[in-house]
Amino acid sequence: MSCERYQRLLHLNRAGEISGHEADELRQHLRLCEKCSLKLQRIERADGFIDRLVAFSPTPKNPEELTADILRRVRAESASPKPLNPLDRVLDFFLLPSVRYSTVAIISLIVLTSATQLVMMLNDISNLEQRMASPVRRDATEATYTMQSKTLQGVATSDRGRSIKENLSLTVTNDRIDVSAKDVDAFLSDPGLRNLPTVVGASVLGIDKKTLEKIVNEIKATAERSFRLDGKGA
Amino acid sequence: MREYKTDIAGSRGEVQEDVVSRSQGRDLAAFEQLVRKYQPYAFSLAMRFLCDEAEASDVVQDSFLRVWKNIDHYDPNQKFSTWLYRIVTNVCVDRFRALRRNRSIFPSRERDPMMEDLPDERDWEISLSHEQLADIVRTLSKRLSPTQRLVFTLRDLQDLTVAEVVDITGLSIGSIKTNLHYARKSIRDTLVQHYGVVRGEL
Repeated sequence: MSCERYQRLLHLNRAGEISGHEADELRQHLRLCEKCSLKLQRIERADGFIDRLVAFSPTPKNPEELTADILRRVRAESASPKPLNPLDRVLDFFLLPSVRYSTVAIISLIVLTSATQLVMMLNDISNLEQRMASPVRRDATEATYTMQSKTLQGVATSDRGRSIKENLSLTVTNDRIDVSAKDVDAFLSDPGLRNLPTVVGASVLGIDKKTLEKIVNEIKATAERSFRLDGKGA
Repeated sequence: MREYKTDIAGSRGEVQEDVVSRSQGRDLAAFEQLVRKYQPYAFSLAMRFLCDEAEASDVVQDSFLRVWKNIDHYDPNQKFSTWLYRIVTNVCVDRFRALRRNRSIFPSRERDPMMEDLPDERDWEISLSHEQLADIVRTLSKRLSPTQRLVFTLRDLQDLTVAEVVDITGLSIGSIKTNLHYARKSIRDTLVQHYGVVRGEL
């Protein structure tokens, strides 16, 4: 064990702050180590002065005057009104007439505004319930499928494409193709019509099977159902 | 009648429970008894810590005023003297920091302690005046941090137990020992440097 640790123990040993085991270790070390023994001598020498500082207890030059000063300040403190606690301060603030009337006006305004908003909200809910109960599902009838197929767009813009557009009610623009959801739903719900693309593509429109498959795959990958309510996009 | 434990070193004696409880009831006569009993110990601590009689007197006044204002919060299960010492040390440390900021009493710690402020060894044998005591403690503890200074004052000068120092400062035992080690080492080195290892050596 290093002398540094023993010297730390020497400094802490003044009033028994080290354990009995540490004290035994220290005693054994001091028997063997001249350096630490000299350190102990220095510490004992210094502690002689510290002990005299402990023995000297400073007292006030005029204790009676100090006591009188303390009591004077305590009496002054007792005589001054006790500061109100925060809750009392808040309550006192609301007892002021101007604050009271302003508070009533603000609260009335808040209540009135809230009541108006509540009535408007109930009205909206009522309208919504009526619309939900309507038998006409506008979205179903006016829905549109939007899709992208460069192959179909190429075919549709060619001469032979006119018959495609006439047969399938397609709206073909440069960047997309729109088709009525009603037609698509009818097509999907009628097993007989499912073969229509093959029939139309292969025999009527003169599109080979490979091109037709490409068109179908592109449409599957890009088709999105959108809705137009009351003629506005949604 | 229940007796308050007041075995903090120096403050021997007993405080009757009713003195504290009457003080809690805003009885000034009872509070005066408390002031008379504990004022010397509060002053001694403040003087040893601050090394200035006027400042120590101010600290004692402020501390007792704080005791009066907060006596409702005093827990009778703890020693009254420990509670009081905690208040005094808090006021002392606040005042010490303010004074050191102003450097009115404590010059910069970067300056070497003025060894010439230490009295001749013969003076220690007679009696030390307040001024001499202040000079000695000021010189010896100039290099200490406020915590080291506080722990040294409470443990070695006021002769309180480690447990009492823990109660008063709220520091852990480990922290107290570390601060004590550095404080004692610094002070002992200064004393030995000035007075020599053996009497008359220097």
